Amino acid sequence: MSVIDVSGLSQRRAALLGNPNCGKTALFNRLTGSQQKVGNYAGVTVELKRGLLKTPAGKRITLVDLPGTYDLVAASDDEAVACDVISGASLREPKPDLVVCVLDATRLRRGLRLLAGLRAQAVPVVVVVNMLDRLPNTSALNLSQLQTALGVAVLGTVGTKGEGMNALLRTLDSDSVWAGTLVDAPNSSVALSADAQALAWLQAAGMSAQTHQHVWTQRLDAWALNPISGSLTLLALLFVMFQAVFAWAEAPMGWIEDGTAWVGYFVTNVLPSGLLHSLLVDGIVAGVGGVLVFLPQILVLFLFILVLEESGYLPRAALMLDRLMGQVGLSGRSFIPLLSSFACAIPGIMASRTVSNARDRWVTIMIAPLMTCSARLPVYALLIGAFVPASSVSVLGLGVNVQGLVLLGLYLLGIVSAVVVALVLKWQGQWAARNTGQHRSSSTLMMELPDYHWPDPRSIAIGLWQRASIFLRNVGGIILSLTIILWVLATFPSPPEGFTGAAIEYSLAGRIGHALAVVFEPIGFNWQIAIALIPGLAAREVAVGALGTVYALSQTPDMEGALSTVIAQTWGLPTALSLLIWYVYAPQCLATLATVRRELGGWRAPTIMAVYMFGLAYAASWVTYRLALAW
Amino acid sequence: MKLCDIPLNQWHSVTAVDGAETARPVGGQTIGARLQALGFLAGEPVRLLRRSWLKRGPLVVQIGNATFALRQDEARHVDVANLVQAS
Repeated sequence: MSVIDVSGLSQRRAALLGNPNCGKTALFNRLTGSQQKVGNYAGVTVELKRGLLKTPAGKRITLVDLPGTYDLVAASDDEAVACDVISGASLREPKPDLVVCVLDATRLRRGLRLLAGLRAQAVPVVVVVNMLDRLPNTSALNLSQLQTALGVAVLGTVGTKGEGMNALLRTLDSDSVWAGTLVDAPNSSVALSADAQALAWLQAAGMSAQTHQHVWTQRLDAWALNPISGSLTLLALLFVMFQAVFAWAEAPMGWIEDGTAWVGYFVTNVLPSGLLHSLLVDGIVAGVGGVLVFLPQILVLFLFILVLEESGYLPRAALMLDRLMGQVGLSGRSFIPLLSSFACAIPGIMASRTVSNARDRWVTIMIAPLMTCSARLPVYALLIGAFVPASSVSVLGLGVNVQGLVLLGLYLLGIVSAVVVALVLKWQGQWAARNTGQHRSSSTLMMELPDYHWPDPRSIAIGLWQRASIFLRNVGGIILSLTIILWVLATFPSPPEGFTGAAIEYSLAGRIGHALAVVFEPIGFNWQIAIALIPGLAAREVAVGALGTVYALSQTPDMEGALSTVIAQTWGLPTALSLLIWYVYAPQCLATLATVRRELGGWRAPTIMAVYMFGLAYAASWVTYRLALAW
Repeated sequence: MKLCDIPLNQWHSVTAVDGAETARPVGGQTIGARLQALGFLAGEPVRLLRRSWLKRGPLVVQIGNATFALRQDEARHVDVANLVQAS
């Protein structure tokens, strides 16, 4: 492939390849900084990430971060993404002009095996030996000898601290690296196996395959993998996480609420009352402001997930849960997709590609939406804030936030339901296997437990920033437009003279709501809720914005204040509980169903998912509502 | 000796990985081939770090410089020999 650099405008493409946990993503974040094209979803890297970087000489390079892989024969779908890009078989990403192969300095042999796989690809290679700070004794590593042995540029870096970045960028400036290919084993005409090649390279560089142990990892694992202290640690972490979602987010949420209220007053003072005033205040400020207020809570949740992911704890948690997951016919591997689903079911469903067993993957995808995604958080937070007292109870002498406790309960309910559904699917699978006489292949684990790391604050910050921008983009796009559409539906046609009651009841939305209320009346939903459920299908948090708009329009003068105050006055507790339970099971947002269709192919899986979740939601809400009424 | 049967914290050496087994492919690979890709290669030092509480649970295995969680029946694919008092 010839790359002709005319006027420095043609963009070259480089791909980052490496084993899982070799610090590739930290390196990527360092090199591209904020110049990343944010994919739609943050989370475990299963998708390609692209970023732009500029070399000291002003060359612009597109850098692609590939999912980590152990070799170039893919064992699971996420590894296949990396392999296809390197071989040029990917339809979404052209073959890169250069592969930056990242090696973990403490696991050189393994990284060199992957590098050996590149011999057959005839692609220019630059080798980066990362995590130099992890080497107990740097003198054992001679990079210049390694460079001679490999025949391509070799650089040492510490991705998390940014060391070696400038040297790497300067190297990318030299034209020779875009043409350099690997040298085969020294003094050998026979094609060696990947491992023999790796050893030959090490030997040629005068290095031995030394064993390295990260002392702290062993110490921490003695605690974290112990059945008793490990389980307690996992439970405590989850508990603190959900407490923090309420406790830490309280102050910034107050600022956003004050800001929203101020904008509302400002518009009221500036504009004469009329349609435009109503659109701005009742539609946009009430709708968008009502959703925006939950940004701090979402960021706190993500802070925890990102730190757990970066530190290397997640696979340990997966291991702790493997037995438990085994009981319901899944493997510990399903834990990471399921945990991602707490952020959003979509990256969770995509992360299920790391589950190599097809049946496991199917079940994992089916139960992923039962994990409480962050889009449900606004709904929960609104209802809990309105109906659960913000007091503390004393547990073992510690003050525990009751609202946080209820939230944890809702999350647990989702998890328990997922367990039940998985069990049902397991029995169904066994029954089907007996009928067809097929033996079900059991699932595999084979999961690496990486060394613990201090999370890189920069990577965490970038992750949070990406999450915030995705949320704000949703607020500015889909939520804003749906809020405006809803306002139009809820305002027109305007009622004739002498119509008693709020104008919204005469409008199209009011009529649709009243019609739907027949269906939802048995589970305690009034017509306002029924309206809000429809835009909630697009994205669950829209339901909150929609409620904001509907109630802003149906307010009578004696019923003013924030949405939570209004619903606390007008709904009974049974209705609130029923709606909470509804959202534990709530039928997916349409984007989730579309992802399921894309990942599993065909309409069968998304149809099954929508029907079973709708059924569960209706049944559970009905039971809750009836019980709460009787009680 | 099979990897799943060795005592805890004693260094062994991998002698062979059963790559012929084809009944349970993982993606495009057999379990044996996958284990080799992960680094379970002849001559590598290996030890068991942790055995599950209940006998049938997963094992924690150190191979070379890396640590993996393996199922018992996955570890059964790895043949090992005792290494002379390395640890």
